Amino acid sequence: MSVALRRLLLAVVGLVFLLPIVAMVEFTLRSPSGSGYGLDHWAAILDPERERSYRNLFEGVANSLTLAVVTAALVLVLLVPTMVLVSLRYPRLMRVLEFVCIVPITVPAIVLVVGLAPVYGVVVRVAGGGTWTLALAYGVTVLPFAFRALQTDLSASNLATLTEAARTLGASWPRVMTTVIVPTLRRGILAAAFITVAVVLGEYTIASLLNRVNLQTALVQVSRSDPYAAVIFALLALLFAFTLLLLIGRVGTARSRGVLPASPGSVSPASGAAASPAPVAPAPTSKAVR
Amino acid sequence: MTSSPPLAPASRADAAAARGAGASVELRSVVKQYSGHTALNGVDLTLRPGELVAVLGPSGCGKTTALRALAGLERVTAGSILVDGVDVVDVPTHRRDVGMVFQSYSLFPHLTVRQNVEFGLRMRSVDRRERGARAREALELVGLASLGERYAHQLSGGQQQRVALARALVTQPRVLLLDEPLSALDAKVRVQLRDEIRRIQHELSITTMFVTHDQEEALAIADRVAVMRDGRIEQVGTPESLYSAPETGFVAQFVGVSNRIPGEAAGGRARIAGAELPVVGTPADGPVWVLVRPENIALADVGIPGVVEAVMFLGPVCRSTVRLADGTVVEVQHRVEERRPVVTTVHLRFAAEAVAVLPRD
Repeated sequence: MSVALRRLLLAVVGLVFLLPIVAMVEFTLRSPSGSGYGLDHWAAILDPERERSYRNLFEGVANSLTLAVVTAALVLVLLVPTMVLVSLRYPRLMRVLEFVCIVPITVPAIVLVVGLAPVYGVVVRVAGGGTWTLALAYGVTVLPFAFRALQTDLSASNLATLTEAARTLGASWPRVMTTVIVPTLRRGILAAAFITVAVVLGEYTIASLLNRVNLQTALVQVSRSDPYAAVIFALLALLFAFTLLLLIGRVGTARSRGVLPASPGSVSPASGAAASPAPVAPAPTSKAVR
Repeated sequence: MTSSPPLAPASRADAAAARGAGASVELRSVVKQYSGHTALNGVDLTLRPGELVAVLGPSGCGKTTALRALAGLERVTAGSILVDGVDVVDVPTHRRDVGMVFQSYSLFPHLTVRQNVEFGLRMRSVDRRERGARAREALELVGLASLGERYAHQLSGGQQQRVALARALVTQPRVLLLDEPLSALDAKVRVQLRDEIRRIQHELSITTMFVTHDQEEALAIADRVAVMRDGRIEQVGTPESLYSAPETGFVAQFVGVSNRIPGEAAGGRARIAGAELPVVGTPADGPVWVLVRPENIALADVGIPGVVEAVMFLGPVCRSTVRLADGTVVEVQHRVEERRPVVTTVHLRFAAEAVAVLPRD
């Protein structure tokens, strides 16, 4: 394929993606008077007098952000140790785990909701009707994406040997997890988290059918009375998701250069000697390596 | 046929033990079974304090499993592992106080060289200043003090293994375990690092188990060599004794190159192709395979006739393949100047060195 053809294809694909976004921006910049452009609709969102009409929308944003955080935490807390355990101890089970994690992508959201509705009857009775409970359903829907992101990193790293090296150097399992596994899988974990956030922010069907308010259901509702606000929030959500994708890319680039930003789990010279949860054989100071 | 004890007195081994600041290690009847497969089938092996023992054997013989069992990375099915007389079978890996270097470069990719070396000290809550000083010393020991701020992927394979060695040594472990640390390196670096490992091990007098499938490496580096086969120790001894007095055919074949020549054993001597040679041990009389090293066969003016079939140039020496009149093919090692063209008739003479023999059905 020639360079010119490649550029042409890239331009066409770019246009396909860009045109709707440009149209959305153009729409939000239209002046309320009907002629010319301005920032009136953007400013209106921050207008305290109109706070009431957007209250539902802000609630939706807050709920979606809460759900994004809870879902990401839930998925990572469950999936990372499970995948690491399967990878290190039961590698033959990886295919089973993969199947289980990929299944949700084959189930349409509407079917999922039909199954989830009675489950949520119980969830509400046990855990209340808080926003966060929707994260249980979202956790299932994002499993395929999170699994893939983690698996890519897991298969690229020699985790078994690194873990064994850490163990022979005196690291207990919790410390192996925090000082070796998590930093080694940092890119996969971040990618899984960001994709989870992006999926949750764009989710509509489950929230709508379970009568919950999130960003997407609120946007639909607001669009009926104020289409400008709906488009502005849709644009902001797009921008947020785009930023997350950029961050994933940056983390990947940083890793390939070997200049990872410090993370809470990583060992850095500045972090000092953290308290060891498990005593190890003392390292005598008198017999120095000379 | 089997096992290490009783330990034969050996000058290199004794010297290592005499240096000994390291721990003594003893594997007693260690068995490791996986589902339907026995990886270790009653391994007995003793490492004296400060001694370097190479565990040599073909792929799948259980040598790495034995090392991993000593590290605590494999739980043994039966038997005991004693370090300084204390059974450590139930002690988890992170409390065994061993240093280990793996075949695949196992540096933590998110840490710099210095942070990698400091890792074991961090796990032991050594304070920052001492950590830094000891990591520097360890890096100086392996000649990489100037690369402390690099990441693993910025180093060559040899450098990475040096860092892994420094990381394993910095905690001053009781036992150093080396799992084919040179296998992934190119030939020249392999020899350099091999010598370096020997120098450092000698300096620190640390009890070391070195697993390898490369017999040249094992013979060059070890105080004693344990040859393994099918989950058992076939023979333990100094490199010299293994080479010159193999107790089994497997050892004779695996350690160095041996010709397998049909012959007859009688009265403690072996008769082959018109020559009579002293025998290692006291084999039963009858037909045997006689194992003769190529360097113990010489080209001569008179002797057993044969025809040169091939000549291999090995640098300082040549190795010729010669077919004898009875059809037996033997390898003969000789000086380069003695090289004869292919199809030339030559005469062979066997050196009067004791040879190992195997029963022949």
